[in-house]
Amino acid sequence: MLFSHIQFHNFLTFKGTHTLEFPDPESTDHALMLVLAANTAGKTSIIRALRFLFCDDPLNHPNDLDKLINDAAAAEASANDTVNGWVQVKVSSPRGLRTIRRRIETRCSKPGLLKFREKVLEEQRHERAGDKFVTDEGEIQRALSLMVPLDLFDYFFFEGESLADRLVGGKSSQGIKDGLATLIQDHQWEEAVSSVRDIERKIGRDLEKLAGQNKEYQEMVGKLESINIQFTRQSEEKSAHEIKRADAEKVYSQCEIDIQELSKGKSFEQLNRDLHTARSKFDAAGKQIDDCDKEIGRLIGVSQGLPFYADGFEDALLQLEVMRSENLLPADVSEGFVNRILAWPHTQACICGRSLDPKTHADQRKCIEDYRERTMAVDLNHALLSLLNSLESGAVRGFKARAENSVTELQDALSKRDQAVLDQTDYQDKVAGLEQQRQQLSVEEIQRLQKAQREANDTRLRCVESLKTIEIVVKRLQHDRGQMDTEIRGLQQGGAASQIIKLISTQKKARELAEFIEEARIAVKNTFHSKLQDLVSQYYDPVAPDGSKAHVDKSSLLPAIRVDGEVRKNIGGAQRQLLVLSHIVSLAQLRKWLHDELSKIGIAPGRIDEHCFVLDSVFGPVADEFREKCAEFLVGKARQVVVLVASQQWDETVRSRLEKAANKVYRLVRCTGKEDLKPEERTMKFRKKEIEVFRRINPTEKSYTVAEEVSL
Amino acid sequence: MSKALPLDKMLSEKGDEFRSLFVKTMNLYLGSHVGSPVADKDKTARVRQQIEDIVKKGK
Repeated sequence: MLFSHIQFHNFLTFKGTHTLEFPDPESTDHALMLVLAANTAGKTSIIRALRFLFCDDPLNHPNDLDKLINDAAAAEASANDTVNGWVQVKVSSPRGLRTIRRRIETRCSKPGLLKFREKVLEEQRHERAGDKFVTDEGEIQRALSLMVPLDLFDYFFFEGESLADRLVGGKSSQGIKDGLATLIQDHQWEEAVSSVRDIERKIGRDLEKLAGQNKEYQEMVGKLESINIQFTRQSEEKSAHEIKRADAEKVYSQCEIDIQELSKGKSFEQLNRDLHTARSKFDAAGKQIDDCDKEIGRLIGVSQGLPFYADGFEDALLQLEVMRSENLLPADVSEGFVNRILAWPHTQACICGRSLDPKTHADQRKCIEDYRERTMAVDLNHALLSLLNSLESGAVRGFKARAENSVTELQDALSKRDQAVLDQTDYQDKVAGLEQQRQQLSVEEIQRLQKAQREANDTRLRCVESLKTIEIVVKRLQHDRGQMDTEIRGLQQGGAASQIIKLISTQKKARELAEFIEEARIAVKNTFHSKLQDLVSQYYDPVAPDGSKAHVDKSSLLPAIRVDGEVRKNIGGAQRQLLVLSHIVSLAQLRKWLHDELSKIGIAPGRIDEHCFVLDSVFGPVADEFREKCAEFLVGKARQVVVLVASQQWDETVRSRLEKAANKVYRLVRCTGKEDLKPEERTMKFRKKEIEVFRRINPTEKSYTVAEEVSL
Repeated sequence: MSKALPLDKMLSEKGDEFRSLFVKTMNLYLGSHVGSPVADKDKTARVRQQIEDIVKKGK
């Protein structure tokens, strides 16, 4: 908050209207206004008047506010006159420049006697008809409290000793913290938390109502929950079975390995292989026997029983040779010859082919006819001839040779069969021997392992079956769940369910927001100490006359100094004054820092920026040698500094530092008919000029003060 | 002046939507302190309603 002007009208020591105009803040980085005042001229009235305006402080006249009206003005009023007194400021604010005043209206009963009528806080408004003051409805006072928090008033408008005592003496342990709390509008953060909590509770109530209305949805959600539980159980069961199956497979494999291991070194596998070979050969011998039997049967069949008739071959041959010698078996009987015989008498020819006339060749014809009657049928002749040929001993394909061959082949087959029988017997013995050998190995252990292997396999198979069943159940549950989801979504989109979901989300958001605001408030306040310590050190440490360091108490935020590592509160002189000045300037800086930091985040806590300091009695308690440091300190530390200086403090040291830096100077002229000022106190030197701060008036008049600008 | 308020870091862990919600809320409350000259009770109710709208609709 920077001033454009401060105005007093008939207030306290000021008679008439007096305005302290400040340099334009936009054109001045550091404005230093000097107010040179005679003793008792009322420089303290400036700070008191500001307290009346900003804090609505009755200045020890709660029941007779008319006493705040200037005595001289009251004395000059006539009966029934309205006499106003006010303090007015024109200040920068978030809404631009605002002109605000607190006014006391009185009615004069008789000269010098005023009757209080009202106290009004009002603001100047620009209207077409002209500027007018509008009475406060609450907002103006809130704005003033934000500009100058009550607890920080003393820091911005410094009355010297009293503040120093309170700060360094630790008499204001809570004041600074309370003042800083106002910087972030602490109560507004609390209100925000409270409101958001209320919103959260309201949503909770809405939720309860909706939940009751949405029974169907709740039931559906319940069913879905049940399905989800079943699904989880099935999934767990599936996992258990999978683990069991894996274990069984592991056992199976391990048994396999163990069995192989047991067989190692005892030629178990070789024994098995030998046994297998022996069994195969035994089987092969059996097959050989079968094959031989078949061959023998075949040979017997092919032999046509010739070997059995071999003894009759000689007799049959003799008989057939007799038949052949008797021409019963004509060797040359041809097909045509026989046909010609059989064709007689149609052919009328000889069997040799010559023509036989029945008349001339009757005998021949008769001979042929007789022969024909005796001769055998061709087939029989052929058969007998064939039999004859077969029986003849020299014939290659004769019966004898064939019979002999059959016998030989049969003997071979029988021989082979005998061998096969022998082989089979041998292999039977061998198998028996090998089986006996195998039984002598670790049969029991292997059998145990084989049993375990079988059991593992059974378990595996059972698990596989169970898993199949579970898979079916899971698929069904998945299907049910999908269906339920669809139905719930349908309800969510259309009914109270969607509102419930939104409300739950909103409630959660509200809860989170309330918690965060609370955390943020604490976090922001926790930064005050470290920041204040940094700032006070920054200002105090370089100018400390004794090398002491600034110390800010963590809990009270009050200033002290640290000498040789020890905190000292009982300090005085220059250290105390510099420390207090450092502290109040730091507080203003902290205020601005907070504003800037919150603005970076996007929060605009009103316009809390640079502040004007009005400092009274800065040099009073400071020893001469430290006044220079204090004077130096006041230059360039803030955008606006008003230094109220009484004539007795305005020595060469102070003057040399401040008059160069001052860019606005006022004098408070004590107008009095009394001789209460020494001659040397009636003027003050400024830039080699003597400035009058005393004016003699008629002794019958009431004393008063006027503020006048000193031209630079 | 190297120190910074921890707020920015705290908010960065919350996401943009929450940051916006917080900033809007605080601006309404802090702004209400110096807002238009209406009665406190009405003002509080109005601000509360605005916060509720922001929380519910994000507006």
